[in-house]
Order: sequence, then C-alpha cells, then structure tokens
Amino acid sequence: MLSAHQAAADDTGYQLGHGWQVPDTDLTLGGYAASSLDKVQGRPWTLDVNSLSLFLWWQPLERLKLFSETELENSLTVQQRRTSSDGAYLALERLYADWTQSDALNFRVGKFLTPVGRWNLIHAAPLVWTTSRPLITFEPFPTNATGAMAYGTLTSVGAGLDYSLYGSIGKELRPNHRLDTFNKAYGAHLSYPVQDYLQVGISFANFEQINERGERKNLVGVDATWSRGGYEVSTELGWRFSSEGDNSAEKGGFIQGVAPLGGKLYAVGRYEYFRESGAQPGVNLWLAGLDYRWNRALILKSEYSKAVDNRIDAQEGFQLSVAVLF
Amino acid sequence: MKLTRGVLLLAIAGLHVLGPTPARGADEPMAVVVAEGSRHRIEGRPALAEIYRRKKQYWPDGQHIEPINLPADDPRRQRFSQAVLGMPPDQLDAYWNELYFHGVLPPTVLQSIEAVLRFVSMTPGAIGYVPLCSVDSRVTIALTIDTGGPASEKFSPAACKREQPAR
Repeated sequence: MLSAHQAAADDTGYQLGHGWQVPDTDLTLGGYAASSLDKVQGRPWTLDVNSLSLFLWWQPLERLKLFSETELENSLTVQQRRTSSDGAYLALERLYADWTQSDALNFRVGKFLTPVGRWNLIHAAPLVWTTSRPLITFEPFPTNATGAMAYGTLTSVGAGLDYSLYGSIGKELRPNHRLDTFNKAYGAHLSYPVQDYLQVGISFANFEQINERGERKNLVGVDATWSRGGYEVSTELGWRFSSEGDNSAEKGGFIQGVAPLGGKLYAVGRYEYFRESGAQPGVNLWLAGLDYRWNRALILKSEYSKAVDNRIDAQEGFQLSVAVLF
Repeated sequence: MKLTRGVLLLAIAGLHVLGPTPARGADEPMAVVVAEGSRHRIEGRPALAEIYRRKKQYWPDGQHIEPINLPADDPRRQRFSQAVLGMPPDQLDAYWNELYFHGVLPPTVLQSIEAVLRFVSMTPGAIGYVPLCSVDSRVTIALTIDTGGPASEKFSPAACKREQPAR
C-alpha cells in the first residue's frame, strides 16, 4: 500500500530529514546521528560518536500507529590515541502503540518520553541548539516512562490546547542501567500557543523511583518558547519536592537565546541554575556558542561553558558537534 | 484502495512536468478547496491553521484529513503560509522537525495547481488551496483566504474572466 507521502517522495526523491517510507509498505524509517569533540574540564580531548538513533513507525490501520526509537549510545570513543567502544549501549528510547480516537483523544501504551517541559520531548541533537543539555531537563526526573497516556489537542480551546496525562506502574521496558527509572508515576503536561510565535507549557509529575522506593516526589515546571525571524528565546523552570524533606528537593532552570548572525550562522547564549538534592549552593552555568545550520536536517555546533559553584561535577568546557536528521 | 490512491498520486505528481503554474498578482485570493460534493467546510483561518499544522487530522465525520501543499518556494505557498500560519515556510522548519521526531509528517507537497485540483477532487478527505480563478467544477470552495493584504480586498471575481485560469 502506498501513501500520499510516498507518492510525493517517489516524485521528488528522498529528502534528508523527511524519513523514508519503505516501498509497498506502511513502514517509515528515520532517525538521527550525532558526534562530538569535547574538551571538558579535568579530562583529555575526546571524540565521541554519541548517538545513532533509528525511528521506525508502522501504521497498519488509519487510527493505529506503532512507533519505536532505538539508539546506539557512545558507540565509539577516541581519547588520547585510544579507541574504544566500551561505553556502547543499545538503548530503547521509545516503543509504543498509539490509537487515535479523535484529534482530542489519543491513547498511547508502551515506553515513551516523559512529558515534562519541552526539551525532553525534542531532545534529539539535530533539533536543539546546544550539544550540552540543561540539567533541569533531565536530572530531577526519569526521562522515559513505561505505562499509558491519553493525549490530544483540544481545538475548541482558543488556538488549540495540547495536553497529555500519563501513568506508570514501573516495569520499564529495557531499562537503561544508567538511569533511575520510575517505580510508580503519574503526571500531566499542558502546552498552549499564546500566539503564532509563543508557546507556553506547564508540567506536573508525582513519582517514586526504583532506587529510592518510599520517597515520593512532586515535580512542577513551566516552559516557554518564543521564536520569530530566526530569533529564539526559550526557558524552562522546575521545582522538585520530596517526602524526605528539603534536603532531597531540587530546583533549577535555564534561559537560552538564539540570534541569527547572517546566512546560516547563529549565536547561542544560555544561563542555567541547578541545585541538586543535598548540594549547597546550586551550580550556575554560563554558555556561549556559535552554530551553523546547514539546512533543516544538518547542524554544526560549537560552544563553551563555564560553571560557578560547581560541586556536582556538571560538565563545563569546550564542545564541537555535528548532528544530522535523516 | 490505498494502492489506487497511491497510483493516482504518482500520476498526479508527474503533472509538474507540464511546468510550474504562472503566478497571478498578489491580490488574487486563495480558495481552500475540497472535492465537489464534499460536505467538509472550514470554520475560519484558525481551524485551517490547525489542519496545516497537522494538529487537526480528522474531519467532524471521522474522515482522515489529507492536506496538500505547494512547494515551499512557490510564491502562492509563501503567501498562504504567511496568511494562515503567520510565518513563511522556512520558519516552520523547527516545528516540522519536532513533529517528525514524533512520527508526524508535514502535508504532502504537489508541484502544480492542476495536480492539487486533481488530487483533491479524487481523494476523500483531501484539502488543498489554489488561486480563486483556478477553481473549477471538480472542487468545492471550503474557505476563501485573502493572502495579498489590503490589495486583496479590491480583487473582483470578474477579473478571472479577463484571462484563462492559470494552471
């Protein structure tokens, strides 16, 4: 069976960043790759193939879609003339089935990205402006959840309110051994386009993690992104409260600006603050970068970051990377 | 059924070898069209924007919406995008990257007005946009959009009769 997209693709040829529909099937393949050259404080120069990610989605019925993302992390590391693949790990980022009841009501079952803030939902290297990721976008909560979700767009609410409600009882599908996954969780995320150029969102999650059973955490967050004419300002703020008291609480946020410098060159600046549980005071991180966005699918990034009061070993230093969406 | 539609699309996509449609003046409104006889209508620009952002993917009767675009560098696509989505196509790149990351593709692109008319007329649930003077009996106007700013208000349908509809 063919779709409209396949017919158009047959006419114009494969385009980078648009995926590839397997001929005579309902299967679409896509993905992204990213590699970086780092000189972070206290470590030697490192060349790393950070991620090779493959998306696969299959739509056997008009209202049913199966989606998966598998990612080969750190497949190759070159450090001081030593090449290694010891850190390689095949991660299951997402694996779910979506059933569309209507635009306003969709059901998802499986492993998905935790809908907290905006960065975690679009974290692929070609989609973001910096190689490093703000701490508030991944430290206070597990970035993936296995469970069920209801989501949709309420088009009757102004310009369309996006919502997602989810729950998990743990049992993570192929849990990443580097992450402390959910034991139990429920939460919600709302996102609304205030105008064509401004999107705002709020997040809430109540959860318990596998390695900290008995400790219940509440996370609240706000996010906003304004973009126009190549300029972009984005921010995320988050507070995590714990049943164990203030010492287990975390909070932080970032504000990031992007400005076009002419042609395909962009300047990026970011300030972030993060206070990890048990750490006092929090870390302040400043970042300045220069990006070259070759086209919609390919981006070269360079950045330098410097931390103040860095008692949690937050990464700081120089990073150069290339990322491509295919 | 899908195979038939795919073959149709392949044939229609080939229509661009006839050459791009010459653009009329910027004062000509755009007609948002659905197949002749279709009961699907659009309740204003915000609803149309939701369709072209793929936020609204189903008609009220449950039929899947298949939106059709012209190529990103086509001046009519540029005007449509600015008027309906509030920005030119290239400023939507980040938006489509985000949706692609979640397995949602942008509207299908067809290369000419004739290809849009033919596809829309033969595909249940399809929607496209063409210059108002290009509308013919194969399609029904679901909404008319002024894309040329103040000049559009001076546009008279009588102007269509002075020359043959562009293809």
